[in-house]
Amino acid sequence: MRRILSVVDLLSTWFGKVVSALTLFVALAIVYEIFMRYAFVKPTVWASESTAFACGLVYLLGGAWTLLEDKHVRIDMVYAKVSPRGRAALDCFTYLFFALYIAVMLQATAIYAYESAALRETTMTPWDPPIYPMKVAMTVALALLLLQGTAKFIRNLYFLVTGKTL
Amino acid sequence: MSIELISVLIVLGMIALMVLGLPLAWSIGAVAVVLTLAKFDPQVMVMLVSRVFDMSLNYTLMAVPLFVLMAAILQRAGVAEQLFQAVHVWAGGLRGGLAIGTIIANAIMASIVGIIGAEIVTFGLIALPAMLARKYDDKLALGSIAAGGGLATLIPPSVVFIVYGMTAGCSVGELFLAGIVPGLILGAMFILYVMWRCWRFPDSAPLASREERNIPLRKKLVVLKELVGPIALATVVLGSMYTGVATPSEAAGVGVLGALLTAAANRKLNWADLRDSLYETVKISCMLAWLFFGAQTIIGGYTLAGGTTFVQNALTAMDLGPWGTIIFMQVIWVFLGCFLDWVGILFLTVPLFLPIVLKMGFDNVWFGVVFCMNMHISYLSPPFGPSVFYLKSVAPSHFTTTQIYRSVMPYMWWTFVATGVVTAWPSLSLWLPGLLLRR
Repeated sequence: MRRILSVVDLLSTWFGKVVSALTLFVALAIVYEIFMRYAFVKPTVWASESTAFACGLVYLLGGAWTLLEDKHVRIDMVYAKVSPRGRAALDCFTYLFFALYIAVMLQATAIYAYESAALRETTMTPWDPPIYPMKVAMTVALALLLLQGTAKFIRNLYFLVTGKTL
Repeated sequence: MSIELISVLIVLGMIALMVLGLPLAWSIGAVAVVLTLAKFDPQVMVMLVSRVFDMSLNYTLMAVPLFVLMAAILQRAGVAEQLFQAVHVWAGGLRGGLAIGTIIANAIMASIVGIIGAEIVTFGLIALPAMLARKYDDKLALGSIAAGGGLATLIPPSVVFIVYGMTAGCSVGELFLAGIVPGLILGAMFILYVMWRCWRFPDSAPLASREERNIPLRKKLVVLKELVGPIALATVVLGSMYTGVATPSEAAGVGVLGALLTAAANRKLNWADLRDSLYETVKISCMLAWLFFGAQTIIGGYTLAGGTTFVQNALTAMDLGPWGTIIFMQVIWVFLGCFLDWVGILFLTVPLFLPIVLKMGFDNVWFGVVFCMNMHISYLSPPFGPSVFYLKSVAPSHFTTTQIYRSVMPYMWWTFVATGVVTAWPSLSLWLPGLLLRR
């Protein structure tokens, strides 16, 4: 069990760290685009869409890592005041709502991505890149989030029942 | 089920989940999913998904990770240390000079970075030990940092304005310009308050030592040289936006390059720091983005259920008059600000309030500034005041959260005063954009 959980952690972390390089790419692409536009009056056709895609990938695929590192903001009025075990109990209960949200989104996104991929949908702009891979990425992102959330749930449940960390 | 009942259930459901400690992003989304499944065809979920997807590719939203990255790089490049050093040398001789200097340094830093967290954490690490070592009163030291850091919401570039502009459909450039005068008014109020306090209670800020008061002019001028980099950076980033050379997102991209160059000039550019900055950027951006995604689902579902019309009708039926309505909205903001952070408040209220405000003939840029002032209050107001938490995370451990809240209270009341002033005189915010952009 411990092995499986650490594989999930590793996967989330890996995706998060890989997409982190994209933010730097976005900054450099923007500078390049401005330079081309003003120095050579030759604006690129790809910069605005590719940077938006890159940022989209960051938000989507970094979500699970952010969850693993517990960086999604919460209100800790009650949460901070209870014991670690009480916190685990709260987390186990609220996990049900998290899972409901992400699972329903995942299912709908899968349909959304499938329809788009079947049509080989593109953005219909002058550069016209395919857009369906982004929708597939969103499906992957939600699956990752659900996995990571479930891994956390299993850890919390184990701690709640046995008082030991898994 | 009537829309009144649905609205009440949504609010109660969200509050319940949040209080139980479920992160805001999931609490909002879970309620949206329950609403959608209970009331509509499953196909509606796909429509909500497409709203989220469009949000993830939003061009204006791109400015957020870039400004976060810029702040993260600058935080590690020692720019705040340089700024603080400079104000210390120049203002250190005055009574309370360090506290005043902290507020000024915060305001300058605010014109380079647009996120409060980065400011308070950095100055908490630099200015707080410096003030405590010189026997400044705890309250004065803590309060000036937490309150001064909040200026980042009003002084451009500000992430709050970017997201407001995106939601309200108004120009981010105009919002940035509109925030300057209110930001300076607020900063001036804080400084006058500190000066009054130091004059009234001289013990709260002992005079600086003889050496610190008699720094030769030559040395004072040398320190200024170090400020050239940061000020040039702020000028390039903001200047490129106002001259129309770049969009806010592009200006933020240029800012990242500028931050890298600044770090290189300070000989603090290295792989480890850059990597950490990138990691931090991913986590902060994702935290914000998933909140935006959750907000998209609830707004989509609620609008479909007729909620927007209901809220608008209800507000109109209350018949408070234009100014009464504006004040009522602010009361709601301040109330929500005690429990939620600005992103949640923005997404839940602005789409509902804005059409009413515009119909009454108010300006949406001015409304954005008023929103921002209220969010400044929300950063300080207990029990959920993010500024206080940021400061707590870097302050020496013997300072309790309650103690920090007590120290920021006076500044919070002053922010209420400033908010009133900015609300009552729209020209304070609209004068500068009118002068430069609305010709």
